[in-house]
Amino acid sequence: MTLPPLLRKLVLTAHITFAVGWLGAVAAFLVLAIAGLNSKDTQIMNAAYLGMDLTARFVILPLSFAPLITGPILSLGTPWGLLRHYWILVKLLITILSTVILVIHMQPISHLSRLAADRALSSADSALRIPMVAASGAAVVALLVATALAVYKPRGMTRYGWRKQYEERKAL
Amino acid sequence: MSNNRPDPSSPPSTPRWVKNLLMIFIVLIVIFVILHLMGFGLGGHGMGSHTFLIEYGLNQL
Repeated sequence: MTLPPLLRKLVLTAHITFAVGWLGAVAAFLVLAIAGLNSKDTQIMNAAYLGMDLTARFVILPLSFAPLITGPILSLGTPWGLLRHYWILVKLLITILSTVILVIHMQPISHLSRLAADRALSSADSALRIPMVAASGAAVVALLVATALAVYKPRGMTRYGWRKQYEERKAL
Repeated sequence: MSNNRPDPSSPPSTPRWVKNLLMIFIVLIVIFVILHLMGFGLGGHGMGSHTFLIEYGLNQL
């Protein structure tokens, strides 16, 4: 099924907005995580974790699920297909993996936020604070790779894509 | 069989960039898991403190 041009552009606009917005939101989260970890000022530290919780809950989480919907619609609605090219497959895997890691970290983020609201955080809470920096840093890199893949579209057809193309050519 | 002459009747091999990306990904996952299990980079509190994060992670699954 091929999407009509107007609908394809609408879905493409939404997909780019969600994906790039997700990257920006995770970058903001990383800055807050670093500020929360390094700041000597307890007010800044605690404000950072409250901000991280709000950002993760209301911006990053919705923006991580949205490309999982728009991406497959876009690829299945165009000749690119979802599983025909490696760059699309790798992007899909990066998106799924980043979303799973985010969901796993949602509860520790909320816990840190609750701790920060109740009392000043200390070095004893580092077991939760350091992984936030590591995970969001890794997420920024992964989302940058996904963005670069979408722009460069490196060559490489999967076995499935090759078989489909072979069958289509044979049918002509 | 030479790679310089692709056979149109056989599927293409996996591109080098996919293999490289996969290798980097596997190395990063292994480093991440080892560091987590050893407790390094987690405030120097070792396994005990890290079980807290694991518990939270497992609760979500």
